[in-house]
Amino acid sequence: MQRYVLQRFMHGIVVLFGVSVVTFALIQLTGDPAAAMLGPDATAQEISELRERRGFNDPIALQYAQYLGAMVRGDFGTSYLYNQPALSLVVDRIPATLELTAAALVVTLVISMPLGVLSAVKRDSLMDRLSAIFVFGNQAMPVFWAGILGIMIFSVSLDWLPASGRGSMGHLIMPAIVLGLHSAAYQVRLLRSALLDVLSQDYVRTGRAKGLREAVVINRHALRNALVPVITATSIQFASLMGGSVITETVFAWPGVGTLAVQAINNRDIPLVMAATFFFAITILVVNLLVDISYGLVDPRVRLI
Amino acid sequence: MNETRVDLTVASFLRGELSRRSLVHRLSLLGMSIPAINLLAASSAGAQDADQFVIVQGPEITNLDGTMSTGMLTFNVVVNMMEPLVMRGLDMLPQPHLAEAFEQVDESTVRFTIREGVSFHNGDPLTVDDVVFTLQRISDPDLGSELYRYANTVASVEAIDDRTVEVTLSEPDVTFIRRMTLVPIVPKKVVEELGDSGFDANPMGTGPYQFVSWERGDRVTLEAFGDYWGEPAAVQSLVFRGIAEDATRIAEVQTGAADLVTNVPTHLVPELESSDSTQVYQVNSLRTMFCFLNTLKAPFDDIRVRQAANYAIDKELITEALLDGFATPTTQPFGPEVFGYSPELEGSYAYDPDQARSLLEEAGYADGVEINFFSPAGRYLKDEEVVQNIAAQLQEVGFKVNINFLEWQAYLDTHIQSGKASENLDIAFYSNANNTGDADYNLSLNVHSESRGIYWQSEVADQKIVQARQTVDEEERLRLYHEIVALMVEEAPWLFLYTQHDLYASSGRLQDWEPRPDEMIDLRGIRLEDS
Repeated sequence: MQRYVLQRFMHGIVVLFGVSVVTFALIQLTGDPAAAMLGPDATAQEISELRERRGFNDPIALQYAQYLGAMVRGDFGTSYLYNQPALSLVVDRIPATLELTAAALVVTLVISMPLGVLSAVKRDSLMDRLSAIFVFGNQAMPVFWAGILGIMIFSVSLDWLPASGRGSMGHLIMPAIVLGLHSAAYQVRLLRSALLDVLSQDYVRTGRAKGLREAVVINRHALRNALVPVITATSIQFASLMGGSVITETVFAWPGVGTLAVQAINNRDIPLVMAATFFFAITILVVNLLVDISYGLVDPRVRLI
Repeated sequence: MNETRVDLTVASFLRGELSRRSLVHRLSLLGMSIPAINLLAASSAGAQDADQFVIVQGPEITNLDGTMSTGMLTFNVVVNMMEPLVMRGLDMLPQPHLAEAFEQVDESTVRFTIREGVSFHNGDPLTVDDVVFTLQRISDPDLGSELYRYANTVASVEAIDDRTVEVTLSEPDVTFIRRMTLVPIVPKKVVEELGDSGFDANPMGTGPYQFVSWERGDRVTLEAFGDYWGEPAAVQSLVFRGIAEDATRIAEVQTGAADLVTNVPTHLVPELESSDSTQVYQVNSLRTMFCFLNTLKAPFDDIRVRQAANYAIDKELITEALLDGFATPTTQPFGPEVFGYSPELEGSYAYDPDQARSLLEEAGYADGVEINFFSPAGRYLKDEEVVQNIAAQLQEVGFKVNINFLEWQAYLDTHIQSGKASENLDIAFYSNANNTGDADYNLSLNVHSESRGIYWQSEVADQKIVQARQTVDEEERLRLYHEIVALMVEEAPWLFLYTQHDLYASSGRLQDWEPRPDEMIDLRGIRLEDS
């Protein structure tokens, strides 16, 4: 087990290195950071002076090496836009993003578990059909559109919930539901098909044949086995919730890493883009590792080497 | 029965008679569950508070040190806390502020007399040392302040006595005083103690409001400063928020959670105007839209072709039909709010497609001529529609237009800021917001050949721009600008288009506020209906 974790940790470092190379290269392709820093009214001379001062004229490989050297020591540089250490800006925003993502995940699970089980057990029933409509409806609806629609209805028309910002339960409800519903739709379909697959297995027939109550068959025998793919999917969902939170955060002006990342990208704030990307990459790596470990707990057949 | 008592309790919370804690306590006694109460308290948290004024601007606020950032987003927050030596009046002319007097001693010397009895929020008096420190701070290129641009001609700053500061410039520049309207004075002692990033997190100045808190990415809260030297603030607390998403920002004013929002999208104006609870404000801004014409190569190297293009455009069609009246046609490099505008030239290049066709014919393009039109997409109000409309109008008189839309930064890097003319470009859609309200800003930046004047180079214009900057006499300076503008109208190096309007929306309770052409939100003297 320890060896496995260590091995995964080493893999993680390689992945992070890859992420840093790709992000650094991509952001260079978007153009001159000095021009972005100085704004549209800067002259060519001002821009070239700043390029020189900030070392943007050095070869990109050298800039990257310097950047990597500092990063390994935990120094992501100073954000051009905020004049603050990039890492601390990101760290400050993590609680808000985790709060939103966790709340959205709760929404996802609360909706998808019962709905998925019901639509598998009552296959082709009215319930199953309604659930299919729910799923397709939600997946067809882009998160930003659902968010704005939610604001129109629940803030502007009904005045039940605040339209944006963070600070109370009321602020969290709408973004969490908008974000959670979208991934719940996917999760419902996945649980349904996993459960249908398990329900057709011999041991389920055996269970029923020996006179077990249907609830026991479903909960103890079928659902547990159907959960393995669902757990994998939940981790993928967590990652996509993090990604989706960039849009949700922007719509609801939620002060998380997502809005920060958008602001950084729009302004070519390289240190901040790198720091935010690292946050997302590390989160996804950690979640994937936790999920792999949890397989062993859910399914004793899985042995971690 | 309980329902009525719940309503009454909530009503007293909204009136500010009950604290949040008491609200929760009383409602739980009435049998409401805690989540339900939280929900109620939260949703009403967005409701109007008589002593609080909430302003929502576009993107989030990134800096609070007014000596580091030139963006209006920051300035609009900062100007309530920190004040400049001179403030721009509604006529865009500098008025005494922290300097009770200012004097242009000669074309490269300026003297400010500092007001007495002004104190910073920590109680320390404002002294000449603070003024000297601030100006030296921003004129240090190593600090990396965006305000460096306003002070890069400062050669020395000296305190002559305990109330007078003299600034010597490295080159004659009479527009320096106007640029000082954008430089807030900061306390030397505090900045030195806290350091640059410490001061950014705990900003301080002499303004009517003092800093309370900054929840990054969400809001900045300020409260009235009791010992303010000027007229005391009318509202106890100001909250600034940044919401980039248009629909969300507008929803905040519709729900009454915000009192004033900026950058209202034009398509939402009718809805906001028809509502009793919101009011829309409109003002002609200092932002002028125009196109650079590439005069360095055919066909626009011929003055007749440039004039033909100007005659070919029905500007009113664009401003009225396309921009719903939220823009004003102009035939000059800037609008009437800018010092240097020439009223005599109003009405030049009135729409005349026949004249355009005959000028093209004279220039030898009777069979039409192909041109490449470049524009950013998604940067300006309806930019793609406007560019397509201009292209269609140019086609009408004989131009064959190829339109190229680019992402904003790519456009800026390649065609505007590179310092040299792009070879395959004939027309470039662009705009300029005049930060100082003075012709020098637009002309130095967009016309002078050492700056952006890359598609039209005129020695006469260059020389007059510099001469005007060195002319102390305002009448003489105005005359020089009129000459430059007249030359530009004659030579037609640009396609003159229109000035854009700024749109604001407020909740009904804002009184005595007027939007300004320079995007500054001046809250001095406002009143709230129920305060």
